[in-house]
This record gives sequence, structure tokens and C-alpha cells, in this order.
Amino acid sequence: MAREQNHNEVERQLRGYFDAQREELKAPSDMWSRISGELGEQTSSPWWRRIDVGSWLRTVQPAYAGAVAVIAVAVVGVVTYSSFVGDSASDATFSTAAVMESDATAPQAAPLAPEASKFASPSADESTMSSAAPAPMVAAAGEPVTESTGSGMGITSFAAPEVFLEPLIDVTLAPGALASGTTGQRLFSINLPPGWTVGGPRAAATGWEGTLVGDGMFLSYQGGTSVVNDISDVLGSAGNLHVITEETIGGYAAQLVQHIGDAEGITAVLLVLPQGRMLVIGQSLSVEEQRVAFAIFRSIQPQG
Amino acid sequence: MEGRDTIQDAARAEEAEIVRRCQDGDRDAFRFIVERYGGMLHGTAFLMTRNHAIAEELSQEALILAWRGIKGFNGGSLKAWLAKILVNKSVSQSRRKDFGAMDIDDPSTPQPVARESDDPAAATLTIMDQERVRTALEVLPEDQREVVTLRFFSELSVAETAEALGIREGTVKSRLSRAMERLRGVLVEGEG
Repeated sequence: MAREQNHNEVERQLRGYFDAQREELKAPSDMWSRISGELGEQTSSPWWRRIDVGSWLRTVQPAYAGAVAVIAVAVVGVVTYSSFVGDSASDATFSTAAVMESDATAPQAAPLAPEASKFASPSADESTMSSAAPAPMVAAAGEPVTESTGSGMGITSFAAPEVFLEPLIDVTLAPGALASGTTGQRLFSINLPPGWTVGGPRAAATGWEGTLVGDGMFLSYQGGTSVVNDISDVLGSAGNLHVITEETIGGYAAQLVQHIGDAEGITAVLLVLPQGRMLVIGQSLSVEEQRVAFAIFRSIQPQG
Repeated sequence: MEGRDTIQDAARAEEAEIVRRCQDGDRDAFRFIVERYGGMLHGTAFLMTRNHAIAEELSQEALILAWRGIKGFNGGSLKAWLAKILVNKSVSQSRRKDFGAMDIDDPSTPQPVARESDDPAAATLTIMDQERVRTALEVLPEDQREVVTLRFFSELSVAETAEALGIREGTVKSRLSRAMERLRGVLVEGEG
């Protein structure tokens, strides 16, 4: 009884304190005028997110809902199977074509998987990517994701912050940067979050290098023939603390690596190009920062 | 009880209509959301970060993100959805910035105030009581303080708090229970 009274007393004091705080912590009176000019365009929602299945299921009989759920699972299974088996040559994993990426639709078993871009643009090719690319991208908030790795270690992350990416920009080698005389060429194009800056590119011994900086994050990029052949070469003995996945980015085979949880480690993408390779790498990024990095990685369109 | 349910149903219907209009691109409708929930978001952000400037930035960014992403909102609690965006934004920023402790000399930092209230419980909370509660909350682990803030300041239900934090309801309850136990030790039994 005394314990319950104490509990009530704590709750009373908390409510009193927060009531007073609520009076004091009012939003700035000009909040609307501050944000109204910044609202920008709304991102369109993919068709499957517009269907409020949960609400619909709550209004129908459980037996019907169960039957529909079974059919839906079967259909999704068939579609998923055919999309993986049917057209391996298409660059279906390219996420730039998707206006909105959602963690809620990400495959649970694939760390920082390329979300639902297969559904957003099942027949995406280079030309459709180019036309879709200038639109800002959004990686929206989603449900918490528990990701499993090959080593059996789980990665649990809270819902990711929304990641907005600005329209595609070209990263071009400045005239005179390379002794070989190959200058002024586009090295790659990329979508970056607002406020990010591209450092370089500068000429390196056998290629080029530079930085991508923003939101307190630092990514470095390098390209050329001296870049590692395999992402595991970057990891060394720390490979067991990382997860490597493979997908197609910008039409090229790519290896993505993330470190597990918030531990020290590498977050990187290695693209294998016809002439050399391109590596973008960050270190000791948080779970949320890794998601931002992956969104950036997946927007890369190399020159080839 | 039935009357209260009816009022809640009407409020939910009204909110659903506002959301629908926002999804159609109606900025005036979104202004309504800003005015209704801006204070909650700003206050929650401040209590989480203890920094006035960052709280303003976070709450405004959360609202901008909400506008841009509202077409993806499929019903449920709008308040919890907004809080979730804020929490995600807050978590993201806190990993990059050291929010630092509250600077009580900063004139922008809210100080405990004695005020009149319709709530007799709140009215009896003196400035010293408020200061004790504030200090007690400071010693809570961040995850527990988050839950307490969302439950008692933002007035989210357990389910909404779970949704906002991306955790299970059971986890919310256990964090809340541990927080209350710790606060009881400090506030009622005078433990350090």
C-alpha cells in the first residue's frame, strides 16, 4: 500500500513538473512562418503504402482477413521469387529510380538492403534512371529492423531518420588534374543530402580521390586501377565484425559493407568498373549514419 | 464515459480529415497540425536535448519532414508519428553533437516557475519541488528519461510511446517501471 502511495506521489510530482514545463516550453510563436517557406514538395507515396491494410483488416471478419492474408502472402512469395529468379540482368536494385525508400519494406534479413526499389521500378534501366534521377530522393522513416548476419550476430536498429537526397550532381575532374590529360570528364554522379559538399576530386597516383562531407559525417572516395579488388581487403582481420552484401549500383556490380551495430568499423561501397574500381568509405558511423551512407552509395552513377 | 468516447471519435475524425487534406497538398491544413503539435514537439525536443537552439531546430525539421512524408502516413496516431520523426531526428543528431548539459544561466533555458493552475496537484508543486524533479530526471538513464518525457510531457499512451521510440510496449513499461522506481527513491525516500 505504501509503495503504491509512493508511486502515486512520484506520478503527481512528475505531472506537476511537466504541466509547468508545458507552459514554459511553448513553441516559438512564429514557428509556422519559420517553416512554411521550407516545406518544399511532398514526396509521393508508393501505391502499396497508400493501401491501409491494417485499417481495412480491422473492419472485416477475421475469417475473411485470414483468407486474404494467406492469398497476399502467396502472391508476394511468387512475385518475390520471380523477381529474383526471372531477370537477374536488369538493374532492378538501383534505388535512384525510387522516389521514396522505406525501411518498413526492407527485407528483414538483408542489412541495409536496397528496400523496395524492385517494386518501385521493376524494369529500371539506365535511361529511366537518368530521367528519374534529378528528382530529390527520400529514404523515409520506418519500423525498427532486426537484421541478421551470416555470423549469426544480430543488428538491431531503431527506425532510421528520414534521408532526403538532393538532385543528382556530377563530380567532374578539373582540367589539368591528371597528367594523362584526361580532364574535365565526369567521374560519377551522386545524390547527396542537403548541405553536403564534395571535396575534390584531386588527382591521385593512379586515379582520383576526394571527400563527401555533411551532417558531421565524412566519407572519402577514390577511383582508379589501384583501388582494392575486393572489399574484404579493406576489412582485414575485422571482417567478422562486418556484413558484406552485393548488389548492382548504377549498372555495375557493387559490394557494400557495414559494420555491426555501433562498433568501430567500416561502411563502404566498392564498384567494379570497366576501367578500375571506385571505393567510397566511411569509418565509425552510427547505425543512422550508415543508413545515410547507404542511401548515398546507392545513388552513385559511375562514368564507367 | 460514452460521451468522452464520442468526443474522442470526433477528434480522430477531424484529425483524419486534416491529414487527408495535408496529403492533398493543403498547406493551411498542415498549419493546423503545426499549431496543434508544434509545442509538444518543441518541448519534447528540449527535454530530450536540454538545448533550446537544438530543440527549435529539431522540432522545425521534424515538422518539415512530416509535411514531406505525410503521404506515407497511413492512419494511427498522428501525434505518435510526429514524435517518432522527432525522436529519429534527435537520435541522429545526438550521435553527432554533444548536446551538453543545461545551462541554467542561459536566459533562454526555462526555469522552474510558480504558477497558478487548475490542477490542484500541480498547484502544490513549489519551485523547489520542481527543481527536485528536474534534478531527479537528470540522473535517469537517457532511455528511461525518454520514456518518461513521452508519457508525461508529450502525453503519449504506452502504445504510442512504443511506436514513437520503435520499441515494444513491454519495453516501454519496463523502462517506465525502472524510472519510476528510481524517481521514487530520489523524490519520496530522499535517496541520493
